[in-house]
Order: sequence, then C-alpha cells, then structure tokens
Amino acid sequence: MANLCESIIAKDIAFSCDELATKGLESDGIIMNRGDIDFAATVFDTNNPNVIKTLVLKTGKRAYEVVQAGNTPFTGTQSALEVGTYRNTFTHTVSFVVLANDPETSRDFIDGLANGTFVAILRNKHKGGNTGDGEYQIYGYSQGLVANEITNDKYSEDTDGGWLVNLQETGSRFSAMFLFNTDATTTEAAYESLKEVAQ
Amino acid sequence: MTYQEALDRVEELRGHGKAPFSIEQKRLIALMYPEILGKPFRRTACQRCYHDAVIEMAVKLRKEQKMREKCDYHMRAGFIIRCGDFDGGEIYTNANLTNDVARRYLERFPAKRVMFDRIPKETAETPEQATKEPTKQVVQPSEKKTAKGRSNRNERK
Repeated sequence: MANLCESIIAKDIAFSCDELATKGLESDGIIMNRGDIDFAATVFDTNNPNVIKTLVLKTGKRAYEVVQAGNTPFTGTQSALEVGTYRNTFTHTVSFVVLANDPETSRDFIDGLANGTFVAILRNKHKGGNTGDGEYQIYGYSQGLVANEITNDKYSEDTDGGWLVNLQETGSRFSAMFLFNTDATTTEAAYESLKEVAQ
Repeated sequence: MTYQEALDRVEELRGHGKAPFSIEQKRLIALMYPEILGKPFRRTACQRCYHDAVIEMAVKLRKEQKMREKCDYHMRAGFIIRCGDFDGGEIYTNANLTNDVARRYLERFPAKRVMFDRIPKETAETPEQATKEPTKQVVQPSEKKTAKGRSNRNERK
C-alpha cells in the first residue's frame, strides 16, 4: 500500500488587527555547532512539529552569541521554497557580518564557519502576539546550516573591512521552526541558558 | 567580596551617571557582574552595556540583600527548571540556581540528573528516589516519542 503523507492547509489566511506582523530581526542571536546538540533530549511540541520546546546541548557545550550593528541586522536572512522533483522543500539563509578581522577571529570563528554545520536562533521583532511564540526562530535544525559565502572585501561599505557570512540550509521540510516553551519568560530563560557552560 | 563592599562599589559606579566609564571601571564591572548575577558579562554592540550592567547589579543586590550563593550544581546548556509541582512553577536557570534548590529538585526527581553537567559527589541516587517521578517534567518522554514519529500531520490540533 502506498505511503502518502498528507500535505494540507488547516487554517484560514487572515490577519488579526491585534497581532499585525512586524518585519525584521533583533540585533542579537545565537549560533551553535550542530554536532553539539543533544538531539535525543530535544522535545517538540506535541501539537505543532514546527515548535521545539526544549533544545539542549551536550555536556560542556554552549551556543555563541552573534551581535549585529545597524538598523537592519542580519540583512539577507530569508526562507524560500525550493521546488523538487518529488517533494518541495525550503531553503533557509542566515546572513550576518563579522566586524572584525584579526587572528583570533579567523581561527576561532571564520575558519570554523567555512567547513562546519550549524544551527542558529534569531529573534524576530514580531513576537507572535500575546503568547510570544514567534520570537525565537530556529534555522538549520533539520539539515544544518553550511557556509555558501564568506567574503572579506577590504573596501566594502557594508562590512567596514570585516567579513560577510552567508549560511544556508537546503532541503528543509519545515518552512520555519521556533523555540517556545509555555510562555515568553520561560522561553527567554531557555534561550539564555543555551549560552552558558559550566565554569 | 562581601555584600556591603559590592553594594558600595555599585552605588559608587551608579553615581558616575551617564558619563563614559574609564578602563579601570569597565574592568571592575566585568569582574563584579558574574559574581553578583551568576552569568558572564558580555560586551555587545549596545552603547550602554556597562551602564546597564551596573543597574542590573544594583537591582539584584537590593532585591536579594545578600551576595549570590556559590552553587555546586550546574545545568547543561538549554536546560532550565520549571515544573508546576516544584516551588510553584518558579523558573530556575544557572543564574539563580542554589545548592538547596538543586538538592531538593534532584531528591524529588532523581531521573533529572541528566539535566546537570556538574553535581557534587555526595548527591547520591538511591533506588527509593528513582521511583519518584514528577507528574510534570521538563522533558516529557511522551513528547519525545511524538516528536520522533511526527510525520503524520493529522496529529496536529
């Protein structure tokens, strides 16, 4: 018997005057090595597979902050449909600038970005209404983000001689994934805890 | 550093107003911040991150009326304690976790040792403790099962 997965819509497309969408991202996010994630301990929302309630890293691992300057942080970050032969998926792109170029930055960040696989969490300016379930968007959980552009243009007006980084996840079956647990306060605590490691 | 010393220094820094801090003052703030708040101080692109840190420290010291207790327990990155059956659903992270809270939590929910990457040796797990399972947990086994087999979208509400 054929195994057909349903692909249906199940919600009216309308907008709420109380929860109008807001464009843009906050100026800070986090990025972690995908291999550092304890996938066995990940807890999804039972009602919505696009929501992760608990995202945990392996012992001794932590996520790293990415802080952007300017009025349009993470410019170029987007998601787009990718048409496939048998199944359509999504391509997610995370873009940011590294306003530094020194030996430590090259060794500890840029060189690692070149060949690693990553997961990033960026904070949407649109928080998702009263619950706050739309703030923390996860990129790369499904397939992993890999670098498809890392450029250091010495005379770039955009990067001031720093690095422009584009990370991309292709073949994700999720249009978007979010980190949300119970309420905004709990989710913020969980998000912040990802940056910590035992001292 | 005692509570009074910390409070005096923070008040002195607050008296600095909106003027930029000197290198020495910035160094002091970066040193005091983790001791008082239990999390590392991180410089960001924010223009006033040192001033904000001073306010954070002042609020914390006035609220707690004591220095932060050194905690021998530490949770892995991503785990927090928030359980309706424990301390009325209070949220605990590494920043506000204490030995007493961690000890009580693990006594009640010994299976949650996996959440920690640092536990003092004297916190032994006993068979009696292992039988006590929480009714509401941070990681629900049933949710994990659903997550792994979540290809059927009919499960959505």
